[in-house]
Amino acid sequence: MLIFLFSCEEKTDWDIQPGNLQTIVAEALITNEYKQQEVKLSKPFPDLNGQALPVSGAVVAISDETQVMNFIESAEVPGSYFSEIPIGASIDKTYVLNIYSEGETYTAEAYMVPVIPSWPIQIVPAEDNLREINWTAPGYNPDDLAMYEVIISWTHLTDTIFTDTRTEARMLHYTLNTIDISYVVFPQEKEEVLFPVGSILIVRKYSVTEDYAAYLRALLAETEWQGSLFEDARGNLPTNISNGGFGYFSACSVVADTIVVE
Amino acid sequence: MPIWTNNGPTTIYLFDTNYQVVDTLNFQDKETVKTFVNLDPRISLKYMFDSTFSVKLSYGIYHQYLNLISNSISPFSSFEVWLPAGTNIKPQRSDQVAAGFVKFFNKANLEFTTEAYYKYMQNQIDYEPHASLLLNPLIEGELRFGTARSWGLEFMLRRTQGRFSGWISYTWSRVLSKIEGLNNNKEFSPFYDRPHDLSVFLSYNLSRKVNFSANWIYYTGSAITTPIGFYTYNGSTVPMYGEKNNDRLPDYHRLDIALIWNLNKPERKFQHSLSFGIYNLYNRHNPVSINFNKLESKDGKFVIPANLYGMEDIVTTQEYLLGVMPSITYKFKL
Repeated sequence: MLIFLFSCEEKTDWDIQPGNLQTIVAEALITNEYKQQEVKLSKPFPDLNGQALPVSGAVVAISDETQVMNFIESAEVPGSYFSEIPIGASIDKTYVLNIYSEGETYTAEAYMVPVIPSWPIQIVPAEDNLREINWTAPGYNPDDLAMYEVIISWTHLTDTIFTDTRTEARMLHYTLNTIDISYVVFPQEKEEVLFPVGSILIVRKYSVTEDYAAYLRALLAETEWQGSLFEDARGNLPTNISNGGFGYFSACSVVADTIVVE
Repeated sequence: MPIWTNNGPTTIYLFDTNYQVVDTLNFQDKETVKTFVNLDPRISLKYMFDSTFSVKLSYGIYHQYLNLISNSISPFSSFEVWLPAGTNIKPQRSDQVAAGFVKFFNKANLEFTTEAYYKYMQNQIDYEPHASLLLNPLIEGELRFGTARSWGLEFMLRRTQGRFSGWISYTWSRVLSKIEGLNNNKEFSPFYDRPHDLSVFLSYNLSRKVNFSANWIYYTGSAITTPIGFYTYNGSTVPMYGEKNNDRLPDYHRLDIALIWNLNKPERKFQHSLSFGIYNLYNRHNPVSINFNKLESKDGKFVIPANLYGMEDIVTTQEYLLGVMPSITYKFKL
């Protein structure tokens, strides 16, 4: 363990091994919020900071036992497909996603479980009279699997002393049903996100099924925990998208709140 | 002929072909869960042509009943789990054959040894990607099993006596695993497959009391899995992989030197010495992992992105352990 304290990290160049990227990535998360639900389709890209190209011209639909909801591609944001009309998904229902793109059909199923309302954050003072988020939601609670999203905006604050050019932030936090050493022991340092008094926070809590929790855990392993002290062997994330697709289709019930930072 | 028995109390989960639990068995205290009886025959032959040249040949079957379970690719794996062979885990078996010879060169005071070996291993253990191993009662459902084969040639030239001593050893070896459910059931190099391994140790007595030594080691970088591409999901950049362990860490090498000063005469009962050493003399940065998930912060630190609206580039980083490190050691022996 002591040796680890002498470990160092430095930038390096690494040649990415070429491979077959001929598939699609589906980011499909429908909620119980009454709105135009969204499905994003994109292509993988070969370079670390490459741009995900949108998958346009696909036929996208989500169905439940009683109805089919068609999704239409946005003219402004190619690759983003929105339900024709505002809809809200329901708990204890199974939804089926169907995508037809470039001669291939991809399907996935998702089940929605209820969300338990609770608030995951404290807003605490930071340097220069700014504020930051202290997550209070536990990383482990098998009885309340959840994904928390906080969207912070301070674009309306023109007289702030804050000099950062960014005026918006989006942060995620998860409560899962596994205990992972990389999460608990020597977690890797995260980017500092500071915001001024007067910022507006929208906090959402999403319900998460056990299958989606397994996906989110693998997502953390490949993103936040990569390079950590007890890192797992690497591998592709599990997916519920058929036919070699990547990404995940989930159905989540949501509770939300808006806070003005004091 | 080892005999291995598992006794209760315990709970055993049985899994179907999709690794879902299909049955749960509870065993009472001292109740036999599973017994293995295996033959481990071993034979070793050695023929000495003369006092300086001998040939040896060996064959053996070996079984291993206790398994260290760790999916970590980090060198700091103190959170492993030990699992015994049992209902879901067959004992690991290795059939191995080796042949070699030893030759002494009396005038030069040198010994040359070489050996070729082949091993075929069954019931080898690997892991479902992102296996959950800690505090998981269904841990055996996270394991994947298969075979491995390894072969190699080892050479060593050694001088043990005289003012100048040391050795040079070189091993060329390969290991390939084939695990059901991993890498599309195709063979792959496991992490510890390092085809070339060379080490040189030299020791020179500068005087009766002062010894200088140098040790240089080199081996091929371990097999690792690196991305073939990336995709975005919910604001994160996620690596996409092709074949398991498709890539290798950079080759590992370093030079260590030491100067040992014996503070009293060798014939004295009380012995004490002072040694000055330099580990990794030329400050080689030997990476232990390559990461594709960090931002470089304004103060030069590498951090995990937290703001998913951020526009900063992700950088590739490598982590390495000790760079150059001097040491002073005082030893005494009563």
